[in-house]
Amino acid sequence: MNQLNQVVFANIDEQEPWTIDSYIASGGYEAWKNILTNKNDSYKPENIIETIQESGLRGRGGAGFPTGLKWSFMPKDDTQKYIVCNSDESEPGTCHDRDILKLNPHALIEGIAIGGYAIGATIGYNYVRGEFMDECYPQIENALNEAYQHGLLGKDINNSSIDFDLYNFVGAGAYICGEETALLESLEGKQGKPRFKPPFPANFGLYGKPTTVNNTQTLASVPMIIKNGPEWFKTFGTEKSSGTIIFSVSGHINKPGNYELPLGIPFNKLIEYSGGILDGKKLKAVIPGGSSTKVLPAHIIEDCTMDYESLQEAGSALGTAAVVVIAEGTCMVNLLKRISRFYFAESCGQCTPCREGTGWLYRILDRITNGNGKESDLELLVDVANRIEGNTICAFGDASAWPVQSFIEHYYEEFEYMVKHKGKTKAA
Amino acid sequence: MSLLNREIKEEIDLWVQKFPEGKQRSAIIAALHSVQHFNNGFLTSELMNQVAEYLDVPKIQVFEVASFYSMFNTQPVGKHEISVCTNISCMLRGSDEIVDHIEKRLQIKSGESTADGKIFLKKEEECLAACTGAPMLMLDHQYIENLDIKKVDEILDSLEKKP
Amino acid sequence: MTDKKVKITIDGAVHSVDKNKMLIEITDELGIYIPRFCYHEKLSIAANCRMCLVEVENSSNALPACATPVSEGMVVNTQSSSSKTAQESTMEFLLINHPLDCPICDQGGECELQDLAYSYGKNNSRFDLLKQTKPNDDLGPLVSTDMTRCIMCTRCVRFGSEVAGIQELGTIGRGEASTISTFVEQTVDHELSGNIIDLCPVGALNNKPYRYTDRTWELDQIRSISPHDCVGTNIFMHVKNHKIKRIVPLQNDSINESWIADRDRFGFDGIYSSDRIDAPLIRRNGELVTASHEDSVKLMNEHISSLVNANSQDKIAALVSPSISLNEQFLLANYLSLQGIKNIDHRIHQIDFTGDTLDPLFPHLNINLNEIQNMKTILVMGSDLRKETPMIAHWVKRAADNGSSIHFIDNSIREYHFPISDYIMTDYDSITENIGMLVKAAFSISDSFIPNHIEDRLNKLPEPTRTHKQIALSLCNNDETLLINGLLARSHPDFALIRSYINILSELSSSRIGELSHGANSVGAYITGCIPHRNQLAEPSDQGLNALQIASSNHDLLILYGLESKDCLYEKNLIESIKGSKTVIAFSYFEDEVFNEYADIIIPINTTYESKGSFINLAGTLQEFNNEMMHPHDYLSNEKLLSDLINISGQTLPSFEDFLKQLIPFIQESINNPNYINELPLETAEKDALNSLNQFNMYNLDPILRRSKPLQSTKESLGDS
Repeated sequence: MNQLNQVVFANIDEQEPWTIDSYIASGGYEAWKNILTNKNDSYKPENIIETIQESGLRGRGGAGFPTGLKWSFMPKDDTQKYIVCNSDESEPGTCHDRDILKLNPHALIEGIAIGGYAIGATIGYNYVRGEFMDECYPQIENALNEAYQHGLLGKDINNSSIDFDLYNFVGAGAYICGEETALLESLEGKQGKPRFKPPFPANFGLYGKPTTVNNTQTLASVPMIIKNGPEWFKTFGTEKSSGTIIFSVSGHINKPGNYELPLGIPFNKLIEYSGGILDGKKLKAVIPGGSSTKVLPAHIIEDCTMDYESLQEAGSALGTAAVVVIAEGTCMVNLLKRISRFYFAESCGQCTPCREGTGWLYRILDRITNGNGKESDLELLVDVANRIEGNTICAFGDASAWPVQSFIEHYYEEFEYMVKHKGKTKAA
Repeated sequence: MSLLNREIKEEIDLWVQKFPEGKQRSAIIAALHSVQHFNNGFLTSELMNQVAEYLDVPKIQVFEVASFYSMFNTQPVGKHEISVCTNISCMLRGSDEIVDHIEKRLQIKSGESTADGKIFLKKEEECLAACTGAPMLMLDHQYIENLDIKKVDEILDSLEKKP
Repeated sequence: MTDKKVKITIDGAVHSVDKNKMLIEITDELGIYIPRFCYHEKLSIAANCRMCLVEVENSSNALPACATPVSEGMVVNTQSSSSKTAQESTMEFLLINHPLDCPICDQGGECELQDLAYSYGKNNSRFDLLKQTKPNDDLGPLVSTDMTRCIMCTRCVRFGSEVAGIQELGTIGRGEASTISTFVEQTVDHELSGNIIDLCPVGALNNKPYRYTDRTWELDQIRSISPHDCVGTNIFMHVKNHKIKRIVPLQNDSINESWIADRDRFGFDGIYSSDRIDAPLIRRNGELVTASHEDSVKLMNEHISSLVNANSQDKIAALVSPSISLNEQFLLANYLSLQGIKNIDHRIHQIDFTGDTLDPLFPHLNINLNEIQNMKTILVMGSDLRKETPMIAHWVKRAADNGSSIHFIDNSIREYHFPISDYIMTDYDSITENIGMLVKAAFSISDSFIPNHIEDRLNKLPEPTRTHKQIALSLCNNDETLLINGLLARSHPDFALIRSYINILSELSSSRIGELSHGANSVGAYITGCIPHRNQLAEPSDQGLNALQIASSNHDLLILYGLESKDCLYEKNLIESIKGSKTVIAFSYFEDEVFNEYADIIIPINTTYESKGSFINLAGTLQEFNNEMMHPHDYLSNEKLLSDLINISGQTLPSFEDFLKQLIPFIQESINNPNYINELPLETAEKDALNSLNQFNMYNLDPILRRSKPLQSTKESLGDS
């Protein structure tokens, strides 16, 4: 059975798949139209939520939270509600949502509409990261106009008495806006500083109203699930990690790219799809789900299947399925320093451990690479990371701590070597 | 005298319409993008004041946003912005050599602008989400992927020819 | 378990606590201390300092007590090792970039960071890198900035947007580089802005005039009452060597919460002005020469008794400041009335006295100040409220925050930082008419009865507009409503008519009335009889001259107590009267050029900052203060001075204690049974149209404020807004 590009990328090999005509010709908007015409009971909001729950779809933005369950948290009353799509793709190593916006924007639009309808939201916002403003924002904006022109969105769409309006929003460069409450703050025109939870967005979200925030890929998966049914979706993937996911494979790999494949695919198979390690080198390590996930040495990840459970058991996580491949010869100290610099630069600055701690971590690593490291630095790094983890308003603190903890755990000798040898790398 | 021309105001108006009544603060980011674009890549206090006035929000709220997001430059910078991605995937595929090369050729360090005011070499610390095309750079928000030194030189050559 | 309570366990002890409160509120109530920086009971929750992290069972991470609602069965261990570890981690992170400024930082000794570092910090630092620094803004003459010390708790930012209603400071930048700033060169100008000094838990925002003068542990603390407006704001004076070094708020949730106005905080500086007088002066041969207390008192008595003995009491007049203490007013009023002198008044900002016969027993607000926030509709008339009484503007804002509708009738658009339902902007002369039209609108919807002749008067007024009707509806249809009559209205040529209208309106709409009055103790002035038409406790008296009449005519003897000509609305008139009166006796705090030229006797008196006394605020609350320790040795109190005067005159010293005994029930009775004015003033002959008042200069209200260097350096005083 063909494994590649079965759900979100099912139609990207068609002619100009991003046009509405192409999308409709591939079966697109069938699910949404069935909702609009109230074809049968399965298209009632509560049943749509159940369908998604049945399918086992989990949030593709990194946390893997069951989507149907998240939708069920929304109150069932008459207040104004919102659905927000998180297209702030910024997790280092991740670049698949970009392709969705570029190549299959209508799947996203249909998914947001279906999701909005299911949770009772009459207004949706698609928050696109600022750097995409010329890269793929024009395409999603164009697709949105097409959808309106085709009478698929708006008020009382097609006399269905269903209202759904969707707007695209542009960010301005802040990784932290990928955190759902920071995204809401940014949408409200403020700095993207995460809110403390509780209250949760389903109770107090955008402008204080009940809101659900979902990732681009999650929502783009919805139309196919509604159209083909949850059972179909479960034919891909594993029992607990059903469906497909788009792996962004990058780094020391021969064919870097976005590969939509069933969850649970063995790691080595994924590497096969991506052309093998660059220049036939030996694999050293992999960051399996974006820089916020812990690094895994080759010998560990080679035994894993690419799903939520297997990677968690191995001590890391599937995250955004951004698989960064690291070959022999790479200096792990410099790599960790680069990762720490990222968290230092992107900390919103709101809470004490992260604001002060990420800078401390980076500067210690910096002096190690500059030959001024101390023996006590390695223990200090891990201790500081441990003191950030769990003590912050949002998961960014944890994300800044995990790389430090995992790199030093697995590559201690490299760090020790560099400290002893005043900045010389062992990996060379 | 308003520094916001009619085109900018119309664009801001379009954005304000996307949000509920009274929530025009949500349009600050888009307004700043618009204004920055017209001002050759950077914002001034006066421009930000006028955005605040046009949107009827306290000025400090506009300053807060302008100072928080990386894409806003609150100091004068060169006309064309180059951001070389140096995050993990790009680092693994040689981004640092590309940055070194550009710095040497333009005679500036990351974060600085050329003396003729033409090019601003942004210090980019985020991942630009083009990892499968590493190494890459963003030229005035245009993504140029799969770089090598030759390609970079071509880009800089063509920039030299621009006014 | 009822809906309202839950059972939780804290450190092994089970408590039944209010549901829906945050854990830190509960532990604070129970006296269990959890360390914190960003949490403040009067501000919204930020949860960003992470100092209040505590272990809660069934949670993998420590939770912030300020943002964790209590729930049934919650088990909290505030002293466990994981709580301590989390708190110690936060403390370590706070200290890595915090400068070791304690020896030069004013906050030392009263610094929340120091205090908590003592319990949760280490002796040594593991941080051996370069500490970060931040730039400083010039926020103006009142608040100093040392932003490197800032721990980004955002209390100051939240104060701006939530309490002041205007965000003047913001969090600029991102990550480690974030700082609190105005971003562009700008001062922080809100009239309550000084409160961020108290709020800042570290030395980032400090009292600029006080900078580098003292250490907190050297100061004594005296409770007192601010003497600059009718609110009776509670303050602590911090004193060293018999000098006030600074003033901070005294929390009083019925009057001023945790706040004081900048005026209350920095006004005191004026009492140390270099032109303070300390010895009596008598004019001999055209020159003022220093005299003894005995001589000046003897001479004054001679002047008065010669006129009294000649039955020329009518040729004697006295103007007294509305901000003096109750005991001073009592003695002065008695001193004069006992000798048959009727021309006494304190109302130096009023020009319309046609309503004197209709005067209430004293101008007041017949609810507690903190009840203003519960009023569903508030109408403010003729007031520059924020400048007249910053604290009342604060309570009105609280009402607005609670969803109340606030309306204004005014002759200028003023900036308020809360939503306003209606703003009737009219010109100065038409304020009266507009209030009348509002009464007319209320009459048409109310069931209440008004006398025919008043109805006739109303019928002569123009038809109320839709706005008038909206406001009238809002007042009539809501239960708790309030009408506020401001100081600008009090100075209006139609004051009496305005006030009658307001009273009739309150009758029609069952609204309460709040009458703002000038100075700190107009209420006391009324009750003690420092008015020409009544004696103390509202006993009727023969009519004497009112303040305008006193200031506009020449007298054989003119007595001025605690005021300068600049304090008077009709300054020019008063100066002419001072020039033209035969003998002028000025009881003054400071030198004054008019007195220097024309006064015959100048007697130094103590400010209330240095006296024992009391004020009655507009809610009718008597508040005592005892600031006598401001004097290094025996001193002559104003009370003794006035008592001496009474004694020399041969009168019997009246008993202040007896007066006080009658005072409290008198106030209570008046508040419980308010005597609403239900008459219009008789129309009188044309009044002099004096300069119409538009602005209210809040730092120019009395001689002390005028000499407060910090306040006179503010934008408000320098006039460049």
